[in-house]
This record gives sequence, structure tokens and C-alpha cells, in this order.
Amino acid sequence: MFFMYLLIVGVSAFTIQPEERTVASGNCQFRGKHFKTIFGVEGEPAVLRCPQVRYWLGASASFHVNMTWRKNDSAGMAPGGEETQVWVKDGALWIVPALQGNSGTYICTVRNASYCDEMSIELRVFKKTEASLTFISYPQILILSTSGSLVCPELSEFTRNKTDMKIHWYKDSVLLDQANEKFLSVQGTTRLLINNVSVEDEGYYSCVVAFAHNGTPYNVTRNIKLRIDKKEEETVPVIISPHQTILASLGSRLTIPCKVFLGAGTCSTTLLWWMANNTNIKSAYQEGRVTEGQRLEYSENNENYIEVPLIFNPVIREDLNVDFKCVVRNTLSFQMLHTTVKEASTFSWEIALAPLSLVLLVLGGIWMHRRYKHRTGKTYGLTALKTGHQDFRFYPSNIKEIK
Amino acid sequence: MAKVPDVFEDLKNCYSENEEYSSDADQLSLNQKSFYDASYDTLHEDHGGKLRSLGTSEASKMSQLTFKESVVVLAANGKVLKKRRLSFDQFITSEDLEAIVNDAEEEPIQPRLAPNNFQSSIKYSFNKVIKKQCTLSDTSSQGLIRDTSGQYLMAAALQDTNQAVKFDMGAYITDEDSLLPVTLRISETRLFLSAQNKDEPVLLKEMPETPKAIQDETNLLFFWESHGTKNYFKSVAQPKLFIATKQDQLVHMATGLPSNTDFQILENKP
Repeated sequence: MFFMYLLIVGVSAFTIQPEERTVASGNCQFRGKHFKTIFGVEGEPAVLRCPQVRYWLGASASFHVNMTWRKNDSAGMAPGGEETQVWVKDGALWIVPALQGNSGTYICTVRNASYCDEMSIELRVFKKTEASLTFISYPQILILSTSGSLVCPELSEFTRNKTDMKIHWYKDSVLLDQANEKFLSVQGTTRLLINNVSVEDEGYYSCVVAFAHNGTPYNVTRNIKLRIDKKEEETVPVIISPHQTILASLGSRLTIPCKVFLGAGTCSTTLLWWMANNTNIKSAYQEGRVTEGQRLEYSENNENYIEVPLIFNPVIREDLNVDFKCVVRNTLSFQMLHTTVKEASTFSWEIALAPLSLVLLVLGGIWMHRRYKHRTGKTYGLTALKTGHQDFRFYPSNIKEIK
Repeated sequence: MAKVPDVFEDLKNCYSENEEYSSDADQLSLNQKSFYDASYDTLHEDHGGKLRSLGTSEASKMSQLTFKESVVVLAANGKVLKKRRLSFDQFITSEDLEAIVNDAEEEPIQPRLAPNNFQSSIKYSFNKVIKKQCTLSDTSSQGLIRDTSGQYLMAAALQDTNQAVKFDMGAYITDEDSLLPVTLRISETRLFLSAQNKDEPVLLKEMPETPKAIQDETNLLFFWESHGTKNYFKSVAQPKLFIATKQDQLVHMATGLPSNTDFQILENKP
């Protein structure tokens, strides 16, 4: 037992020591490149936030960590104070103004007494041209015929502690007039409201906020590419079948289709299922005698339908006492239709009258046949008489010709 | 016809400190902060004519009531005193109400749903995947991405929408006529969003496969509510909490503001 204790203590001490050495020697665990590339515009400020600590709750100071930045191609890059072009503030790397030469990969190192890791992030600084718009734009989507808002993104560093924040909005490089009823820049926020969104509202928008550093004014520009989508239409589904009672013979296979009409609505978010006595079919019939068939989605005259059949293999007497219901639900509504299976009566008048009707049919056939025969005979007699008359009529002429 | 007396008149002033009474909107609001936090809220809904609760102001305002279903009499603390089935188009008289209150033999109505703590008996069965490869974006037009640890989600303004996490939404059905329960799985992975406590980050939980039925692990289920272009995901395990985003925080569970709880669902477009 004592030997085991020594072994455990020895192993744990061994595993901790190298980690301490690693931290001390600066060999940090590299956690890879951050997924996001920071795009900047030449002449404007750029801020790189340390990717590892960005989403730690609270300020980085509370974690007692030391954050350092370096550029990948210059190992010894130590940012200066706020009077220089590049400096660190609250763990973020500020480059004011950013130039094309500042493009590259930056590495943030986070360390404390027992922990150290590194992560890289890429900065790309573009010249302010139309060609660069596609790279530096943030895609945003609004829905047709609704009212929505565009958000000027990633401004928190420049708008913090500012109550007088003023954002200028442009559409396709044209300043949007505040008197315009279509667009409304909401004061004190980063939002641009767009009333009754139309297809014409698609395009590139820019939001510009003023930022001063050491008495020098700078513009911070964000570009947005607005896409207008049509809302996927959803309608209240209508169950159009089955009937309230379904006739079936015991021991036979039975399929009851539940058919739902959706109009122009989407099938994808509409659920359709069967229940037996308020229980899921799979749970109610675990042996699989009664099952739900394959869901079928189809269109007729640009109107959508869904069908899910309930399959009995076979129908048994217990099914006659079960309350089956077809249930349909989507985000707009929940509906159900009850149906019961009734035994098709074994004695039916159709079956009883079948032999009688057969006899009548045979008798009728014989009578028709006789009558038909009688009529045919009369017709034949007349024909023969006519023929005889014709022969008689032409006979003298023949004689004449012989003469 | 005799005027219907207000059977709650004597009860109005009897509620204790830990109970609240309100007759606002013709409804009895009951909030009993007991140890078990029993919820009787469901009694006040009109479940397709199955059950109808008699509100205070409703009873006092109307002199002639024709009820086609049950009448429920409630004490101010939420306890169901009596229930009585009335015949169609039968007028309620003061004698009827007296009989209802004094009849000791009638059994109390049980709440339709158990309190949240005891709802694990509800079974949710998988129906179908209703959305594939869709992305969620919050009110600040931020997409959801995985954080550097890969365990959590965070919201970020993206210049490339392909960087956003894509979700498959699986719909579940239940015997209850409830909202629409869904799971959110990161497309082409086995990672499902799992709700935690208030202000705690939403976890990405690895499952061997899409659960065919969920009974105990309701953390994986969210009631999907859609209002126009706004979509909300309310935890089935903790129905007061929603999936939410907040500036510089991981995607977490929140009751509402200052966190953003509404999302836009963006369909996968080629």
C-alpha cells in the first residue's frame, strides 16, 4: 500500500514538473490559427483581440494573465505606448492607422504562473477601392416586405464609453438622408432601420463612425452586403382525410392514409403522425403489427400535400376499440382528426342478391337471345322475297336479249 | 334569476405573504412559492373547452352564465376546491355555487402537467429532421461559431458566412399538445446543443446518434417558437430559459434582456 502511495506521488510530481519548465522556458502550447481573418482599410484604425481570451467572462485582468503580441515575421516586435502606431490596450493590439505593410500573421501569447498558450490571427489591410468591397463586407440578410435593421458590426472598441456616438450610413457610396422615410439611423445605437424591405434595397452599405486618437481624427468604416430573402411561407395545415369511420374486414391488411393540404406552405417544417389512444404508434404497437408508412410529400397544381399512411397488418378485433388520430403540427398550428376502424358486416345485401341477380341475368339473356332470333327470322324472309321479285322482274329482259 | 355571488370575496383578503392575488384580465393569478414550487398555471388555460377556470371578476360581473363544460373553483393559494360538471346551457344559480362549495365528496382536479421538476415522465419521440444545414444569426446579425476550445458556441460578426456553424434541426413529438420540441445538432457531427443553468454557456454534447426517444435528457430539447422572422429556443428542461447571445460572451441560457434571445434562421442557399 505504501509502495503504491509512493508510486502515485512520484508520477504526479513527474507530470507537473515538465509543465512548469515549459512555461518558464516560454515553450507555449500553440493552439493554431484563429478562424477569422481581420480585414482592415488603409488609413483606418485596426484592432486585433486576443482570440483565446476574447470570450472569457470578465476583464482579462481578473485572470492575472500576461498577454504579449508579436508579428510572425518579427519575433521581437514589442508594441509601444499609445503615442506609437502599434500598442496594446486591454489585451487588444491597436494599429492606428493601419497600413498595407501591417498585413500579416500576429501571435498572441497568454501566460500565468502555471499556464501558457498561443494563438495566431491574420490581418489583411486593403486599399480603399471598390474591388476590396467583396473581401471586407459583412453579409447581412433581411426578409422581403418586413421592416428590419442593419447593424454596423465590430465597433465596440471605438464606441465604448461614448454617448454621443454618431454613425453615418451610405448606400452604394451615397449618404442616406436623415429625412428619408425608408431609412432611419437610430441615434445612440449601431442600427439602421429599413422600412418595408424591397428587392431594390439589396446592395452594399457602409457605416462610418468618427474616432480620434491623440488629437488626430480617423474614420472607422464597416461595409455590409445586404441580401434580401423571401420568407419561407408557412400556412395552417388542413387534414382532408381520413373519414371518421373506416370499414375493414378482420384479418385483412388495411391502409388508412392521412392526407394534409398545405396550400403554398412549406412541407419541411410540418410534422404529421398517427396516434392510437393518445400514444405514439411505435410505442402502442411495439411488435410492429400496426405501423406508420413512408411520409409522402407532393404537389398538385402548385399546392402542397403531405400523406402518412397507417398500416394494419392485419386488422384484429382489438383495433375496433382504439381511437386512432392523425395529428399535424407546424409553428402555426396543431390539429388532429379522429378515426375508428369498424368491422365490415359479413352479411350484406349485395352478397345475398348476387346469386339472384345472376339467375335474372341468365334468364334475361335467354329471353333476349330468343327475341333476337325471332327478329332475325322475319328479316330473312323479307330479304328472300325481295330477291325473288328482282329475279322475276329482270327475267323478261334477259329473254329479250336472247331474241 | 338570482345574481351570482362573488365566491372569492372572502378569499381575497386571506392570502398569506408568500402568495399573490390578481384578478387582472379576468383571471386568477396564482403564485405559490412553496418548497416544491408547484405550478398550477396550466389550469387557467382554456384547453379546447376541456376545462374552464372561473375568475373572480368574471363571476361577479356576469349575472347569467351558461356553461357547456366544467366549472372549477379555486382557493387563492391555488388549491382546487371543487369541480362540478354542468349540463348544456344550464344557468348557474347561487344555490349551485353553494352546493359546489359545500359538497365534500367531489374530488379535486389534478393539474394537467406536473411541475417542471417532475416532467421527466413525458416521452419525446423523434419524428423528422425539419431543417438541414441552416445557420442561426442573432439580432446583431452575428453568426454562431465554435469557440477556440470547441466545447462551446459564440456569436461573431462574420465576413464569410461559410464560417458559421450549420445546424440540423430534429423535431420531436409528444403525447402532450405542447410547443414544437427540437434538437439542434451541428451538421455532419454528433454534437448536440445542451442547455445548462441560467447564464451558463450552452454545451456541445456528443451523442452516439440522434436519440430516437428522449425522456430524461431533456437538456437536449428546445421548444422552437416562431414569430414572423424571430425564432426562440426555449429549454424543455428549464422552460424559463432561452438560448441567448451577448456581447463578448459565449452562447448561454438566459431569461431575456440584456441577452439576445431571438434568432433568424437562415436556410442553406447555394
